[in-house]
Amino acid sequence: MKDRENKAYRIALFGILGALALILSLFENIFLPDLPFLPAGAKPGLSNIITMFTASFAGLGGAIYITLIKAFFAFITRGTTAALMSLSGGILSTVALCIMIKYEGKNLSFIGIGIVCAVMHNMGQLACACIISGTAELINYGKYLLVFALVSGALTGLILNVVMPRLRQTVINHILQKH
Amino acid sequence: MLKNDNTKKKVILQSLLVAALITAIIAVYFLYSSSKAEYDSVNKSAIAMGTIVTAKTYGENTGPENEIIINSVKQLDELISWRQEGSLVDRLNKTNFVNSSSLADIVNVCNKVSKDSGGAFDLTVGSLSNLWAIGTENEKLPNDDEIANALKKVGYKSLKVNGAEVSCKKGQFIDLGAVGKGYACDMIKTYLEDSELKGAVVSVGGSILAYGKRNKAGDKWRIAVRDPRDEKSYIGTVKINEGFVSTSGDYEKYFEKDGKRYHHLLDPRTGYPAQNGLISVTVVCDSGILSDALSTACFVLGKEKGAELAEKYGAGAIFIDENKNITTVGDVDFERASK
Amino acid sequence: MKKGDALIIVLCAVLCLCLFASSFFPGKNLIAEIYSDGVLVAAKALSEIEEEYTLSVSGCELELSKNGISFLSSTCKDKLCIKYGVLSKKGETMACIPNRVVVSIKSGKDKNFDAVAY
Repeated sequence: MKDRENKAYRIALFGILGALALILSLFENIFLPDLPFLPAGAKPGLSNIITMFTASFAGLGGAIYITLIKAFFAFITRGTTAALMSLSGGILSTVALCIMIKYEGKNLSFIGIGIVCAVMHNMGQLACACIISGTAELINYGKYLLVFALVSGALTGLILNVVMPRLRQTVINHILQKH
Repeated sequence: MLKNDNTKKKVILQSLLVAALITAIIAVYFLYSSSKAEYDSVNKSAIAMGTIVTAKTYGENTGPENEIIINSVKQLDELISWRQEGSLVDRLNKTNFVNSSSLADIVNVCNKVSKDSGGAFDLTVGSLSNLWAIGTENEKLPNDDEIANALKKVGYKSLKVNGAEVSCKKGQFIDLGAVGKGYACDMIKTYLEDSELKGAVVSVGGSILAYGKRNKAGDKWRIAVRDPRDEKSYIGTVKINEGFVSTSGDYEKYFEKDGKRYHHLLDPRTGYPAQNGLISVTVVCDSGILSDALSTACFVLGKEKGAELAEKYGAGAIFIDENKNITTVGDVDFERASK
Repeated sequence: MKKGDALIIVLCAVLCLCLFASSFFPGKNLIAEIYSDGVLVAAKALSEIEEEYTLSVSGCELELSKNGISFLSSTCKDKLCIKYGVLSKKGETMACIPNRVVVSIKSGKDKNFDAVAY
């Protein structure tokens, strides 16, 4: 009985996490304005909170799931270019995330992890943009994106730092429960 | 969590260390950047000596120097161009004699190159050049008799120098076209040394003079070498601290007949355009007139003998053959451009 | 904040400062470079422009004036390129990624050679 409950819980949880990631992405795209010296479309990446959280109990698999959902959504709503950008940034960021998250604890909090994820995400997207547009000129953006990633990564990490203890008590505890 | 005084001190000390480290890194980086930033420069181009002259001068409030450089090339042209009535060379060609220490110097240098190259370079090749007239509306493919006749008047050994007196055999035609631009560069260098300029790069129809430095770090000058088969792009870059760069190529002046290219670099020994597989030779050395003369001589000599000649003069050379294979000789910092 | 976080922040900050260092040297003789599909199709010296004019590059219309360059219109779906406004400072870049058009402002000295031997 507990087994089926657990499975149902997992499905529901991942469904909600996916939806949350999409909502946060949508929110950013609609309500946050474009900053002048950044490439048009650059956002703080609030959905990264979900990705980091998912990775903390579901590892690489969970994080990739979130990444793919975001990319697919981008494909449906904004087109192929947007999907490729989302995917390239997402994969690079996810890989870095899963490496870094092992060190979360005494010496490293989600602030540092969030920053690394944000930086990797931007780098992945920048590389993708350069490949699509066929020129390395876009690398000029690198420095502005770095500052932005530093700030937004720290912000998303901070938010997760604050809510994580509570989440550990409830959600994660439940899902890792062995019957 | 209680923080006692000791921990507070530790934190402050650590923060100060980090701040000091960051400041040091930034300071070093700023110093590096400013040493790499180029000096202010002024760039001017004009037509002189039948070609484009470009002068770029580096230093504070430069500008007048560019005018002076361009005017000096115009003045030199009036002196040594065979086309200018009354010029030194015109008088030499018409009366077979002229008294001029500048011309004597030029002839001495050129004749030495002629000797060392076994006649592959020859100031008296003018009769032959006039026959072919490549680059003019009279250009033609001469027949064997015409060439044989012209060849009789070619021979640097008859171009003699005695002190400041320069004389040649009757019928000979001296054309300084092959070395005039390099000589102009030599002249300009003397002027630059007397000026307050920090650096300058001058191009007289493709013959280059690089002088001084373009930034505090003293980075080398980057001289691009034109692609012999694509005038809009360059095949590589030569980096030099100071010196002269000249190029001779089969693409500058030529005509095509029956699918064959007849270019202006005539071999004074055969009377025909040099055909040895090379399409361009670039020479780097510390004298303008030599870099010009050697680039022509090495082109006519071909890769092997040309390399020997360049080595003999301590010059660097870049040989490009018809398959765009590149061979460098001597101390040359050359990098092929990636395509 | 933990030790690891601080380390990461410091590293990023230093990297940022290094990258921004070059912007402190203002560029002269600004040139607007226009790339289409990775190939440089036009390079215009802004200071030499007397009257503003438009240039069409693979589906994008660019306006050039001595004050800078901007996207006027584009066939792309998201029109993010137009939102950039006018580009006028050394090192600035903007692009219409779907049409693969990239514009960047370079200082005139950024050619990688000083003279051409021919």
